[in-house]
Amino acid sequence: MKNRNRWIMLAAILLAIIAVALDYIQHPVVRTSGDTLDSIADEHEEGAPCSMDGMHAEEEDDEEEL
Amino acid sequence: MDSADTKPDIPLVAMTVPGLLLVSLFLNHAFAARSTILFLIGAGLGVTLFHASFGFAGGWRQFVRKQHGAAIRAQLLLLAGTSLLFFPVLGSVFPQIHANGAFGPVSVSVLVGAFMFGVGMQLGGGCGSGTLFTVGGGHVRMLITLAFFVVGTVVGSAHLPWWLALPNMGKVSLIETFGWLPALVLQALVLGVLYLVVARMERRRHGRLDSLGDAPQVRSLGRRLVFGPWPLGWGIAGLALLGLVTLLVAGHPWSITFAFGLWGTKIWSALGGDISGWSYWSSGYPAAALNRSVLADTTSLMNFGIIMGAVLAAGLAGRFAPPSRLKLNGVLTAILGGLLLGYGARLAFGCNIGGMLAGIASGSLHGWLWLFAGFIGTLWGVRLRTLFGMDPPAGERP
Repeated sequence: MKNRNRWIMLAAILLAIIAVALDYIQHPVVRTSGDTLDSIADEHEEGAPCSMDGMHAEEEDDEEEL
Repeated sequence: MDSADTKPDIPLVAMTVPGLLLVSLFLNHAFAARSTILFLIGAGLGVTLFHASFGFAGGWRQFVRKQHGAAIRAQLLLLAGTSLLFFPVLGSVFPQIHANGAFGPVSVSVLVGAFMFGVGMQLGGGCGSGTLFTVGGGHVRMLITLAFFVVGTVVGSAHLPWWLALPNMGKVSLIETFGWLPALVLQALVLGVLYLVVARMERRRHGRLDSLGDAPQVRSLGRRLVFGPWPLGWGIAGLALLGLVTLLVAGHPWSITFAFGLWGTKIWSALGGDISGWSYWSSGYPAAALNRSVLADTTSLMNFGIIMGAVLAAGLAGRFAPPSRLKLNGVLTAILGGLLLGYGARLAFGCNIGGMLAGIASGSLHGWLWLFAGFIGTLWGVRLRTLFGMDPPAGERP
């Protein structure tokens, strides 16, 4: 290893991988047989996550269901 | 050191390539092919950003301090090219394609947020995309900026309702107002005028324009494509095309900072923090994202891809984790800059990518407001860099 920064960065990446794995274990995906290319992240179709529409996308869907 | 003088970092590349493949296979198995594609698009963006050194913060600073305009001209061409690709899609020229733009309100919130972001990206040393690809490139200081970027986004999301209660015109779509073609022509004209202004100032100061198509001719075309460095022109083409693919696959434009708020709020919640009073996270997509794995969130997936793509590019260029020693003022400005970046991005409905690039390319007026306020913020940020000893006073050699 060339320098200390390399070890710091690799440790940070490892830590991030562990955090994502723990999060995944806590929130397992319930996958149905109908999962396709189009079925994931459908909630985004109302707008980008950063945008106004993205903030309310699923809320509007819920209202329609009610 | 020029990357032509360096050799590929074989151990790093040997770890990253299988890593990218393994994550792709896992996403395809556990989620869907769409997740894999979005992750790989992110990786492509990371390689492009790193090899072309396509940053917004440094480019704006170079222009403010020394009127070097190549990076800003490249960004204006990116805005024009992305608009050219987005407007027909968002204007329903292809009714079979279902995609939505990035819209934010024309509001005090966006004005203040983009100003804060402009200051923050100068102090923090990177914008939204710049922070991700420099972290992937192994810059330790940017890791601090990213950590506090996340903190700032979380605080911003908690305060957002208060800011949205201030004067707010709501969403203004140029495509809905004028039609996609007239709006595109109008936007191209404005971008063209800005390009000419920047070019004129650059030529007046330096007597010539820096080329967007040239990079040091030290390698053959094929080797440059793999190992870098890329000219800015390649960066423009890569980012515009991958931006279009993102729009078509995700159904919305590329964005970055929503994921930072999501990661931070998940961590805060896991540490026992109370988020029940934060209305931003209590309904809509944010609430749904909070109750799922981050791997189910498009923005997070793409951010992970960008970081891994940049790690790969840095390995290929032999420039991962350049040796540098952290100084106290570097740490403090990274903390302050990160907080401003995060808080500002949340108020402004996105960073330079999700707010400015995606906003303008979607024909949303808030994107133009972002550009204006972000540049004013940069003027202040550049002054503060001098005050904090990060740059020598203007006119002095570094």
